[in-house]
Amino acid sequence: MQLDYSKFFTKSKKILQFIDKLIIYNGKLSIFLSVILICLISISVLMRYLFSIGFTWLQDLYIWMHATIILLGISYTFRFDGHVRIDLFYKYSKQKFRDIVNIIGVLFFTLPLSYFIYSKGFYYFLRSFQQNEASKETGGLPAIYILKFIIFFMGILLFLEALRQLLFIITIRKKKKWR
Amino acid sequence: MEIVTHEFFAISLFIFSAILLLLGYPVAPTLAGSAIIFALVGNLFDLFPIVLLGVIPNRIFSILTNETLIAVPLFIFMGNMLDKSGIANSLLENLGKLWGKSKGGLAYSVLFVGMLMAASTGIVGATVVTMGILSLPLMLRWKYSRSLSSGIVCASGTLGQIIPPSIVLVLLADILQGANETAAQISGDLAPNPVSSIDLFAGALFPGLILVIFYAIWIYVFGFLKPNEISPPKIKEKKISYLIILKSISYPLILIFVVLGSILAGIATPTESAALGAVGSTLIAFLTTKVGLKTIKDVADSSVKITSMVFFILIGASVFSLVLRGFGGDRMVEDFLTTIPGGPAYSFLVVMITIFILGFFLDFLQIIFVIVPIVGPSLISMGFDPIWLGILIAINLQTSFLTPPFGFALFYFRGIAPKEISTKEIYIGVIPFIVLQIILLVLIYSFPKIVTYLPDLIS
Repeated sequence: MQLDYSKFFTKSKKILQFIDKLIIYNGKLSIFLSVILICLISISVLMRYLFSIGFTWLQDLYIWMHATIILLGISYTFRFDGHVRIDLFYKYSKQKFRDIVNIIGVLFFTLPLSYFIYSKGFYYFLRSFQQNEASKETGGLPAIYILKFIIFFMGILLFLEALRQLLFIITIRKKKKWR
Repeated sequence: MEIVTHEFFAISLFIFSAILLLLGYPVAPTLAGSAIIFALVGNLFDLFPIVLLGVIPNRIFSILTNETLIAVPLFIFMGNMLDKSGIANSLLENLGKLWGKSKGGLAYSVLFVGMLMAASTGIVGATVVTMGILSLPLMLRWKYSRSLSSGIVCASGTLGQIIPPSIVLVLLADILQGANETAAQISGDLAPNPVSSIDLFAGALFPGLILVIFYAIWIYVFGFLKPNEISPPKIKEKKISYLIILKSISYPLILIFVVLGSILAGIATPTESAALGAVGSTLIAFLTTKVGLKTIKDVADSSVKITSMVFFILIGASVFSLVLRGFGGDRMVEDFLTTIPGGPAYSFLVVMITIFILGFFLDFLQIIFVIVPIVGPSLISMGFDPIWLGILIAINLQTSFLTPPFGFALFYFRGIAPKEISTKEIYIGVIPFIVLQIILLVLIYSFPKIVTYLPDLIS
């Protein structure tokens, strides 16, 4: 019996494209923020040494920005295979071996990890939100739960990116086999 | 006898994840994911309290809001800018023209530029690849000895780890500080001296410079032994004005000195200096090589990727050590280290050899994030100075990365070296540098003052 894979392809293609856009959009945001971060810290350094003014909220702002850059950047880096691998064998292995390694990795490592980040991260955010938690420093920024929400969001992004990789490998391999 | 115990889980987690890492899946999720699987299985046997995994978001939060680590993305940006804007490239070219006429001049230039590059990027792979692409073609065209060329590129590429201001030292300082606090709890010391990245920078300065001098001496000796294999070509190169050379050398030099100087003099925190370094490198790029917005975008893009990679490993390793501690792995290591016969010196030796061997399989980041938190507290509570220990670990790892056949630097180098350079020539080329590093290690072990003098002076 000939199975119809075309439906699966079109559907997964749409999902792939959507996740791709989401991850890359957040990555671009992260890159933009990284340039702002450098300017922000430099300005605060100059203000401190030239006019001896320092603001705790400014310091909080750049710490949060730094955290946000990384939280959004992790999935973006994953998208472009930028996370370091021990490529002692991987580098010299065939595509099939690599695909198997990546499928195992996604299923057993990345998906469980992202599950723990977003599920536990959600309660972590919720607790902070309900207490209307602010920065521990006096004169710092309010609403630290925003940053905690981004941790939860990072878990979601990581989950989606892992899913995208899985779908991607499956579609590519199936296409080769059945076409 | 009960087989399924805490110890069994801790040891198998270690072995299991080591094997999985070798498969080649990205390190960060592999560390975290395999730890989570073990935690879930351990929970089934009532050996692991699953609630511990609930603190994962908490861990992520504290890693990302750690103020000293903000220097990391900024230093990465600075190094990337120097590299991508072509500043490093023109520096090497001009130095080659300046010193090229003398015997081994090009080799000294590569060493010098490697030292400057090292001071800015601090990531082994990046420096080896960049240095190799920049300098190898020229060295080969000038008929320099292939093995010496390979050795000098690999060795100066790995300098990045110990020449301040290196990212590796910032990260290592953070980990050592944690280990130091744990050690203080073990030994009952209520107010341990904190370890900061400034201390580690100060501690690494002399060893780093000594190493560069050692390398230079070897180039000189090589030129003395085989003068024909290290001589400049007979072709006449066009003369260039000293002013241009001076300009291209002075900008990056000033940058490094301002950044490093302001940190060591205590004027600015590493984060502040790093921010100025990032802005400074962009300014230099504007002044010397007309960079546009596109270069800045490229630099920011690759900086975000490297930064995310580093911090993701930090997060993964943190989950790993959380689970390992949950199984009592840290106590096991402590018990093991304290029961080694011969006292602290032998425990130290065992740790150093282990780290050296692990350096074949793991990157610097994994070792400082996974291994140092485990062995650090025990060693520090035995009375070893944390700064001294940190520098020795750094140099030890640097040596490991150079050692055939598994050294990381050699893999990166092989990846970019042309086929006419045989792997054997690469191996022969790095051996003298490995010997020099070991001499330095022994020197530092015998005379701790080499490391501790400067940190003591500034504190």
